Amino acid sequence: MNIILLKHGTKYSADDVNKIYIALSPYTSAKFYCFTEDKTDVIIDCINIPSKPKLMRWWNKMHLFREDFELEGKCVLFDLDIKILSDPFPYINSIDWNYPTFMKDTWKKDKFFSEHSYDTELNSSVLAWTSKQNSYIWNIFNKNIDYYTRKYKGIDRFFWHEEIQWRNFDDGIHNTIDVSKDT
Amino acid sequence: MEYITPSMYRKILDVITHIYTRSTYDKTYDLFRFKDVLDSFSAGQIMNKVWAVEELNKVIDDSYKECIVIGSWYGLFAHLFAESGFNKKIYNIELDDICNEIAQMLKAHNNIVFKTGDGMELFDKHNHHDRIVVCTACEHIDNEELSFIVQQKHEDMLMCLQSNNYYEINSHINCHDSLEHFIDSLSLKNIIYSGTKNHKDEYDRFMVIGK
Repeated sequence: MNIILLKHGTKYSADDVNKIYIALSPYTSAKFYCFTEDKTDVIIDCINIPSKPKLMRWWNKMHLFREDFELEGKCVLFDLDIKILSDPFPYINSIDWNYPTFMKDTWKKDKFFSEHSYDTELNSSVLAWTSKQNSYIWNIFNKNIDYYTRKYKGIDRFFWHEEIQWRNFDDGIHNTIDVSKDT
Repeated sequence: MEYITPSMYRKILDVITHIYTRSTYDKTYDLFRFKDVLDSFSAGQIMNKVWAVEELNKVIDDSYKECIVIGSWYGLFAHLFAESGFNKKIYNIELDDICNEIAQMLKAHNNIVFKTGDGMELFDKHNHHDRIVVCTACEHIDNEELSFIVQQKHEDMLMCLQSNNYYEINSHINCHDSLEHFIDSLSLKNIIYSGTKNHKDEYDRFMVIGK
């Protein structure tokens, strides 16, 4: 299994990457990679974000679904603004690896969102997938990148509203990771 | 001069109705198109395109045979340029086929043509001395590709290019800190006009006209 930590631009630092690596490493023997355009001060191996097509911020997660993504096999991405509370891997190891798997913002379930708000219950703070297995997702996105990045605030909305097959982690994963964004 | 006439606003309203109707049975038409079309005719967009039209009209003469708009969205620049009196062919090149379908509905001048494709790839076909190339959305276009066509262009081809420093928008992949930075990124040999306009204290838009 590969663990991927995405850092693009200046919002997050190498220190943020290193902290998540240190927090997760007691729970797994998986190989860690930082997916970035700036390797400075990152203490784990890095893989380059492709320069074309150029994407901004979290939209770079879409590169992970390309046929030519350089890693093979099972992959898990963790955002840098989360807090690891305990071992999340029992919830990750039990997924169906045929589908990209997201956390679910269950608190949104009972809220009203009109169709054209393009909101979503998906949360890619933790995202698991099998490399090269779902490249149709990139192919949909790549047909009209500029439109999709205007229409959707992020990839979670893109996955939810476009014709893409996905799954959710068991809700128990929320007990192991705090995704409240103020950690 | 009033570039957007009441008949144009009528067309925009008709397009909004069309999008709603199409969206009821055609999944390629989604409700975000409402906002996208309206955004493309916002006061800021009109101001930026009028700026380009007015500055271009100061520097062009009758020797230019064609204008090519790269990343034409819903065709606002072409409409304004034709409205200002440019009566040669205006080719709008846009990747998004639905933009072109809608732009065709908004079209008010017969010299305006819409083509679906990658402006960077189709550039070669239009690379002649008597052409004007306009891109008012350079912030959406890869800087390497943009620089490449500037280097490849015929030395007498006229270019009018706009970008901005509005980094916060996710689809903006090629912003620049300043007008000077934008000019440096282009490597045009002869700058005929350059300027900056501030938009609501949110961001600056830069424009360069040159060869």
